[in-house]
Amino acid sequence: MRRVLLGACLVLAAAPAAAQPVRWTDRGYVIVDGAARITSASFAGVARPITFVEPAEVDTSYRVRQAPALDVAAGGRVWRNLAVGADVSFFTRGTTAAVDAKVPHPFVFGRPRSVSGAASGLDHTETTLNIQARWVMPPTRTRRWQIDLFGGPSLFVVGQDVVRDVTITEIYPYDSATFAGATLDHRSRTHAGFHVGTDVTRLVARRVALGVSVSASHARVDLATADGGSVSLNAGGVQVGLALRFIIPRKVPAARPPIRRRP
Amino acid sequence: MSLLIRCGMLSVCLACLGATAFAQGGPRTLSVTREGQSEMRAVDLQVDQMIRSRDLRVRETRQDELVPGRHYERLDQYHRGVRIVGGDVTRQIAPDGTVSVFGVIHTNVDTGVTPRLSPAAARAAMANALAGAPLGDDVELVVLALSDGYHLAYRGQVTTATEIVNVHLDATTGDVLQQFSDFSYDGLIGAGKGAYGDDKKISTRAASGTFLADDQLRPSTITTYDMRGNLTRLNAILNGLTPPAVADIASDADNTWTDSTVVDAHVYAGWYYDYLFKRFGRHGIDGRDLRIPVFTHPVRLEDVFGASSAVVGTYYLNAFSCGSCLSDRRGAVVFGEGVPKGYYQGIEVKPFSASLDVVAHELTHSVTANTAGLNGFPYSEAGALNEAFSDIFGIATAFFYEPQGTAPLTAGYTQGRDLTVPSGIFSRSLSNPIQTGDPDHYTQRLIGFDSHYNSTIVSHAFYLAIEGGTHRTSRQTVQGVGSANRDQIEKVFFRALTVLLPSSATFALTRAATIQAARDLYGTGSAAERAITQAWDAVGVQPRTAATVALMPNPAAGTSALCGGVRPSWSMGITFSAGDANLRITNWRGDYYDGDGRQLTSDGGDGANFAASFGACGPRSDRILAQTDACAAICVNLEGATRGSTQFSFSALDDSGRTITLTTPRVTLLAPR
Repeated sequence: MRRVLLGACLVLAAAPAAAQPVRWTDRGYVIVDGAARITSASFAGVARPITFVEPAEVDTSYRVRQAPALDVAAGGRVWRNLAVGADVSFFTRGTTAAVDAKVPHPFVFGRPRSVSGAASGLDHTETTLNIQARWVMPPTRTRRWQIDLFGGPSLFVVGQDVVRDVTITEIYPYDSATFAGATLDHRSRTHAGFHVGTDVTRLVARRVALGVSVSASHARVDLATADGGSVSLNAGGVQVGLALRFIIPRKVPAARPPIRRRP
Repeated sequence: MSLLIRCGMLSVCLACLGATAFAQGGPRTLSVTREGQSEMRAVDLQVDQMIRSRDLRVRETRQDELVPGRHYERLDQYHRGVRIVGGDVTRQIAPDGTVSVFGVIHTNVDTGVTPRLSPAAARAAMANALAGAPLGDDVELVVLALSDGYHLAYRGQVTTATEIVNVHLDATTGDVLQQFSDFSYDGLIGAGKGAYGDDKKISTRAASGTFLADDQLRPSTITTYDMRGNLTRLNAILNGLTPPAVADIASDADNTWTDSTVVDAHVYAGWYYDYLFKRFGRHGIDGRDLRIPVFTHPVRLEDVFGASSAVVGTYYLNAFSCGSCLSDRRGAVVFGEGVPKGYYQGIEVKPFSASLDVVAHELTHSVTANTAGLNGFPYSEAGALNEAFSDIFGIATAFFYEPQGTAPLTAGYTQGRDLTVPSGIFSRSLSNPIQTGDPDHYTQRLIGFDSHYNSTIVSHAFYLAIEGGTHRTSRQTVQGVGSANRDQIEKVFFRALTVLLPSSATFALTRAATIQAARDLYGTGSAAERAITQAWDAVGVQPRTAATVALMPNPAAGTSALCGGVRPSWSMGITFSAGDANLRITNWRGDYYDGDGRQLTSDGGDGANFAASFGACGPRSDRILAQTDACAAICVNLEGATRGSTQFSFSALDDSGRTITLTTPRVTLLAPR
């Protein structure tokens, strides 16, 4: 997050030092951003499923690694260089989890067996609706280059496969067990957060610009588990990408028809 | 945005499905193996695509237990983010690719995914429809395929008075679409409380909407029966006239067991099986996982006041193992009902399954019946050994599971301590047998009567070999192996019982067998061998080479009827034990003294007279074969004197014509109580 803010500051600093900013005159924009989430996220959860009439303890450490993301944003100018719009972001990643569990003994209370293992192929999805204020800064009057700063509130829809229980292999007398797999629950939750970012684009055609984007988003999401517990995770992260901007030009007033004088 | 992407993937997926076996609408089964290579590749690809589109989601991945290197995954099908009940796939994967795919996939599911009912309303509707309470905190929105098509439904659970029910409730109308019991027929674990209010796990199975005390998790089937006081039926079953029925198995409606007698019997029988396996690697009572039938509630507690003394003695105040019971003649154990506090002097006797050492004691009889035997004749040293081994492994089992202590549910060296309130009324002390009225030395044996009585001579040796100490009677010191090494002595005695001893074993033979077992297991000169040898020396059990005689010590006042109405009188037991040689009794004599040591009278006679008097543990004969005993119960009076003493002497000829003379110590006859 700090890196993003720093980047934004650098972009601002790089803006022309001219006293009079260049006016942005487009009517609006559509941006398609093919990005990569460059940060990974780790979080943990505890499940206590009842096993052999006694609660087990399943500690799971999840890790969501870097992966591609897709953003589509659209908006329109509302005042001077300020635009308001919306952005939809989609991110999905198979996650891995390290599982440490204490599984009760079938015959006696208070004598759990410890098992450990890894669960893979856990789905993690984030669909984010970003309400966006965007400050657009063409650094030169040619408007060939454009620097945007944006940010605003976000609505995260986060889905995550959480480990509900473990499956074990055990043989009589059941004093020990080995990890065989994890039983998963898919949990989802909608939660508010925020996002900030910047684009730097350059016109490559009359109404098309190409550039780079850096953005960051964040929300703290608690996913309820089946046994009444919860898994807390940090949704969002830092992503960089290639931005393809489609310009919606301002309306040019229709030319008045020439007045004809009567002969 | 995500919706657009999903639609896109779904359309791709449906396009690919169009060319496959599951192209038609509705549920379609998948059953593909490597036999059909091209079909396998196509289906495998489609499954992968459905995973990417999240129409299939991994529920579980597991390593294959039987085929190394393989793993398999279970995948659930989703329709627009909602799980389809019964739509799932298993895929077996080897290092070189997919091996098989089996499952049911639904296509063209034509139901929406927006419920009209809220989850909370659905939970309430489920509970209301089944007159129960919702179970768990959540209900799951699912797509349910029924014969009339697809329904958007909530899936939840409701507990009723008798079972746990799975419910599918229409998410639009609130109608129950489907309900079914959550009970299965697999081995289950229930919970219950024992006689002392302790929580126990109980291994059961479910059948016909109830739970049965029928252990499916151990290699041996342990079944606990509840005879509900039907003694006639119990006897028919024990006698093999009728086999036990499923209806005889103890049952509970919700697997939370409230009958502590059944809970204790069933759980402790399982623990005993575990003890044998963990301590000795033994598979059950016969070493081959023989089934273990356990019978409880042979009589009703409330009927004790009208029961005959025989019934009270057998089915209320007793537990027993029967080596040849049931129709297969492989044996069973029965636990008496105990008696209420008001029955006898304010003493409450718990059900005989209430004490772990008692349950283990009875089951050890079954082990003995399947190994050394030791039950050819209970009124012999072998009979006493049978009880001794049961006490030893009863106590050892308790020490295996419970912390040492004196309170209920703790382990100690007093067998049966927890059967009564107050505790210890019906018990035998292994650490100090005299304390419970039992002998601690071989010279105090009383062969020919209750075989439990003499067992403490042997079990006290077991105690000394572990804990060490100075013997109260012989004053000999034993250096025990220490409680941390109790397993050594347990293994030595177990090896002797199950491997080395014959059915007609004597105490002396048991001495030899345990010493050999200690050498076998821990080497000659080991601490275990030393401790056991010293322990046998301390309790007076030596190689039985010479003949010996024992007189029941310090007899209390007997019944007048035994001595022709003279009061007081004393009932006494005499045991004459032959050594290596066969003997023929030629003469015996009893001398009686008053309190000042003056001789009052004497009696006795020749060999014929001996034969007439000594018939308590064998045939009435003047001959005593080597390694056997002749026993008598005699009645003594001192012509009205209230205290005095007595002494007996015997003369015999051995096979070589040599005369042997034996005299008992002079025994004090205490004033009657």
